[in-house]
Amino acid sequence: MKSQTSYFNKAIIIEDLKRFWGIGALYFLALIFSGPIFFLIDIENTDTINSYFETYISIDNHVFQIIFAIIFPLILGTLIFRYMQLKNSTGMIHSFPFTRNILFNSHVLASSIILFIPIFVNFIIMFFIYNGIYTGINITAGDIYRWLLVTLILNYTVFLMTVFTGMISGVSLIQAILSLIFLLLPLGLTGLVMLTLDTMLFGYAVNDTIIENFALKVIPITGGLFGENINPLLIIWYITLLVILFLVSKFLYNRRNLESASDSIVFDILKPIFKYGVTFCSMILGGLYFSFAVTKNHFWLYFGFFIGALFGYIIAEMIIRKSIRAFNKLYGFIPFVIAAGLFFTIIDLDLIGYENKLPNLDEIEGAYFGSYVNEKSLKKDDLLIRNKNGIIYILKLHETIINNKSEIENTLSENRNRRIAIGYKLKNGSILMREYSVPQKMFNNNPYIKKIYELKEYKIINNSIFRIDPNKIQIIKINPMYSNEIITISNKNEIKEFIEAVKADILEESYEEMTTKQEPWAYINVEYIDNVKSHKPMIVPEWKKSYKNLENWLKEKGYYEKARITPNDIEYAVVKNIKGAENIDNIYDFESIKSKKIEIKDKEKIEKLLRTYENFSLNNKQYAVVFYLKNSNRIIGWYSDENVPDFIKNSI
Amino acid sequence: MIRVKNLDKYFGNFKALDNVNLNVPKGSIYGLVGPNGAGKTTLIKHLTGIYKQNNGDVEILGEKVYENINIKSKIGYIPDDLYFFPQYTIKNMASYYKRIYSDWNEERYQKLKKVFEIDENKKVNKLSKGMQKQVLFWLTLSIMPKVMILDEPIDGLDPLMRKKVWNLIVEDVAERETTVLISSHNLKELENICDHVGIMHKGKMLIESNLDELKSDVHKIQIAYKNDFPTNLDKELKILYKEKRGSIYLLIVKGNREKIVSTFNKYNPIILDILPLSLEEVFIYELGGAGYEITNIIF
Repeated sequence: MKSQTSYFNKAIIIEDLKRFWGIGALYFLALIFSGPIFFLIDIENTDTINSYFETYISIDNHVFQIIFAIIFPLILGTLIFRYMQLKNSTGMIHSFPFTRNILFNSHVLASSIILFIPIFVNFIIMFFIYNGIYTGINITAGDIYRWLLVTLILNYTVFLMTVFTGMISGVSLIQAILSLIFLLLPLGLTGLVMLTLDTMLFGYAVNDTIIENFALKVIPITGGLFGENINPLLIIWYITLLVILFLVSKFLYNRRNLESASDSIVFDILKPIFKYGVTFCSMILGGLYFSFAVTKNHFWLYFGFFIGALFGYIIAEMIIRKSIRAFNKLYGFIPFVIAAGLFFTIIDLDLIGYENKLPNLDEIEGAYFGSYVNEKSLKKDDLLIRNKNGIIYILKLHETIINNKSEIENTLSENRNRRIAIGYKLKNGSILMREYSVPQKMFNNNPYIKKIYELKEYKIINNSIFRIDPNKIQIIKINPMYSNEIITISNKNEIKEFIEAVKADILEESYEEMTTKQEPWAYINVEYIDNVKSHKPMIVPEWKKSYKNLENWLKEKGYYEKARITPNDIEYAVVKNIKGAENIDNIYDFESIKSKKIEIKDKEKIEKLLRTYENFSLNNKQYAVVFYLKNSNRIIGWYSDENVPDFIKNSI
Repeated sequence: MIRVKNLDKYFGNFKALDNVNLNVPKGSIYGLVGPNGAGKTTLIKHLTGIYKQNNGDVEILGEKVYENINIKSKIGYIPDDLYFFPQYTIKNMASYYKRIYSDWNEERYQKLKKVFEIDENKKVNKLSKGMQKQVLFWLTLSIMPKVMILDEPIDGLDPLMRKKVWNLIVEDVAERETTVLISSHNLKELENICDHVGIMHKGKMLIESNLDELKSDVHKIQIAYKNDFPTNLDKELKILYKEKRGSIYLLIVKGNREKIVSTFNKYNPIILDILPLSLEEVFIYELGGAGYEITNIIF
């Protein structure tokens, strides 16, 4: 029988279907057993079915489906083109009256059918479930079409990637491994390079734009298709990617010398790329391994780079030669070492001026200060401080950090526990951002940090309460600590006054109050209506002990007594002097601490104790307190020498 | 029919075929001979459109073979290392061949079933290598090939089956004017069946010739003269080899038979015998004379 058209050969397609339909069948079973079958077993329980169905349909919540969408097309792609990797079959098949294009097209078409059928049947089943069993409201018919589209794209991407690697490798195992590596390469390599820069460059801030817009999305497996909305442009890219993989693979098939079956890498031109690619990746892995495993010491970092690179080079050489006798073939390693050495010298001596770069004040449009920074938040103008003094404080802080580089870098990394992120949006539209981990002491002692914290603009940026339209607030709930009472405020005027009081308190707050180690009196739930989202959003500000405006307002409205724990809720308090006590680390086992103690029942004193105890940090604790509540709860806190009330200090 | 011109093939830096030329006339049986590693299989894989050459042309029936469906469907190929789809029975394989070869002849397939006497429903990969080779002959003959390219075809066949296979091939050539190219490292095996021979060594085609012409051109002669061997003879005749056994000389001489005999007779020999020359000897002396260590090549 002649081929039907000049693009395909029916005989090949039929043989492929006959030989490999089992993979499609297994895929179908896998899909069914990881989802729809449960809907049918548990048919009475509609709620369970609904939530199960919703999880199943959003692929990113259902990790099995992603694994299937990698495994099955990978296996299929490896098996379908297995004939090319064996000397006898490649000879036999290519002596048959086909052209390579026909072989290639037919195999790809047959595989596409094998993958399509299980997915499509499952899609039909889901449609029946949607129409017949599903009673929820969160899924629409469009979501099921979306499931089909996403699953097909995932499968075909993995399949064609495996076909592509099959063309460049002559060994099925290497083909499969390369396929997996290539699928994860954009994300993995970007991440590794950024981690390396982070260990090497003082102040390096990860470029989230590259990660989010490129590394995560360029290959569909790693994320672009997940989430609520899929960008149609992204879909176009994924389809383009499929076309590119198809055409490149076909081109390579035509260029491939069949005698290279069983060669690790078929094309000579790719061998150095493979070799140095592996060397580069394992160099970075080695460096990171040593820098994390040993210390943040540059000698070990470079040692790790060298060992990693050497290891990778030898492994790559072994793979290419398919022989373990590669130790004497290291002359190609020398140029790599030189190039890498040059590169690291440039980075380490900061010849590109990354570490010392400070923008000029008059170039800056706005500045950002926080714990983390990313391009997205810098581009959002509402996070930028535009106040000139504010910008100067941030610049000065930045300069101080740069000037103290060696001191910071010489501090053990576990003591550098305070993150500072600084960002600038320049007038020319470009962005500069840095992230540092500094010792807590340096953070606390820096005068500019206090000034930045106390900036009105900074406070407005960092408290979402300033961005809520009080008219949209439906309800405010006050949840006092250690109490089961909930106070609800729903009167519109009261809501407005409440919010105004909190805002005033925040604006009056000092740096010390902002960084207090005290618990708040209460957490406040502010529920409001958002036009965009259907569910009720909420912000949760605190009622700090320093908030006088709010305190007065609550007193005025008569909510005060119930909105916090007051001395009236407390039976008595016990304070112990724990200086030099033995099992001080286990402060929550208060009763077992043997030391001088005092019991307090006086309400005024209890109020003083309540207002001053701390419980967020375990450093410097000298006195411990336990309040025994009437509702049988306990509050445990402590005092340092500075904040302990005098009547305690004087008696124990 | 089969024409190869100035064919070069590199495997990496290794030159596997070096300016190879080959001509096989229609309806002839061509023996491709050479030691292991000479490049026979490489050459054959060019003839069957598997390998792509670096330089030169490979034509069959006047058309280039590579990526040529039309020509490839007329070639019956028996490779050295066999391949069948896993789990396939002979019947399955036959139906596959039937689909891809347009000239498949069912009648012949059924007829050949009786010759080979193998159960059609057996899985091919479960058969012994010799049996598998028979299966492939069976399938290949059923596609009614115009050209048959056989790489070490009778390796692993028992003598009885060898004979059967040779008969089938010769019959096919006689009936349908099939052109056949057979490779082997054993010259003796091909001697009785081939009419053309090409000898390869280290990627080069050392010699290519019509066997009858070759045989009629080299002669093995036993001769004895009363006196000593006439020294003039060395000049008058092209003597490839000379050996003295007692008073008798054994000579291998190249040239026209009658002319040689008359030249010898001029000096009145006591004995003059013209002995039959095996193909092997022809090559050894022919090429030995040309300076090649041909004895190492042919065995």
